[in-house]
Amino acid sequence: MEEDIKELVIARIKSLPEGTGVSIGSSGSFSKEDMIQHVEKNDEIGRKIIEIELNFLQKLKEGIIYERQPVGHEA
Amino acid sequence: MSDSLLVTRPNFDLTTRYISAWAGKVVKFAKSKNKNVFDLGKDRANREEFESMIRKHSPDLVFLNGHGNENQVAGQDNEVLLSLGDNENILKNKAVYALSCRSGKLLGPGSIKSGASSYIGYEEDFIFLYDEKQINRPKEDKTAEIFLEPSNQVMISLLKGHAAKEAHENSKQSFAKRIRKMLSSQSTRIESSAVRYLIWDMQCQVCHEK
Repeated sequence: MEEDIKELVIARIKSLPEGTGVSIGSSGSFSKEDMIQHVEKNDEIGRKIIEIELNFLQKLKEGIIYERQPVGHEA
Repeated sequence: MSDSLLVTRPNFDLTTRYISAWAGKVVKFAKSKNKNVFDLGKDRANREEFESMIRKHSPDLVFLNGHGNENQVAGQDNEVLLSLGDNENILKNKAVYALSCRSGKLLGPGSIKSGASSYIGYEEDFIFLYDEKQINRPKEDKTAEIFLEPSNQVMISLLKGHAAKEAHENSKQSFAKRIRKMLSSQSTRIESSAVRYLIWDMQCQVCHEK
């Protein structure tokens, strides 16, 4: 199961356009290749990337992306 | 309506270069509205100057850009500017937005207990994608814009006179609008990839008030 998730996440990362990087707060900035290595190693950065992917899938399942209305008169 | 803004804009790595460049758009907007802006860029984003400017000018709004954790927000070269249990009381009666990782978890609520009127921040890491070809022109990076424009909406709303809770909701609405577009069949490849990170940022933004 864990390996399946890793494969899914790596496939998602590979689908990023070439030349796309990611900034993950104080952990630093990473290229696609860096991200894949971290996921394969299952280190702290890799686990964060996996957590974000699983969160995304969960939120889609829950259907949380609903219509938000602006608040106030001039948003 | 707020009359003055203090903003910290460290710039020493890719992340701070991007968030500080995009904070420049907020500075420009504030000046166009005739606000007094105290802009602490690069080396001026140090603790001594930060505390001195707050004491001297007592700005209504404080916009922090920089690395952080649950208890702290940093400035240039990761010098700690705000630390829970040390100097968060300097934020008394101020509305704060911290584009900084995780400080919404403890420093935010702690600042409210010490007298801040509101604290909008992030409970987890703020994440953004960027175009490696644009790292020397961060304001022109359309990939980073996907994330940093909804973030800026917090400050734009506060500067327009909205309450903190409204500014927080307006920012989330801006995130949600982009997310809906990205989940549609018309989304580009980068948008389809970015949506998971955008949802993350939207979820992690929190607002604490008195």
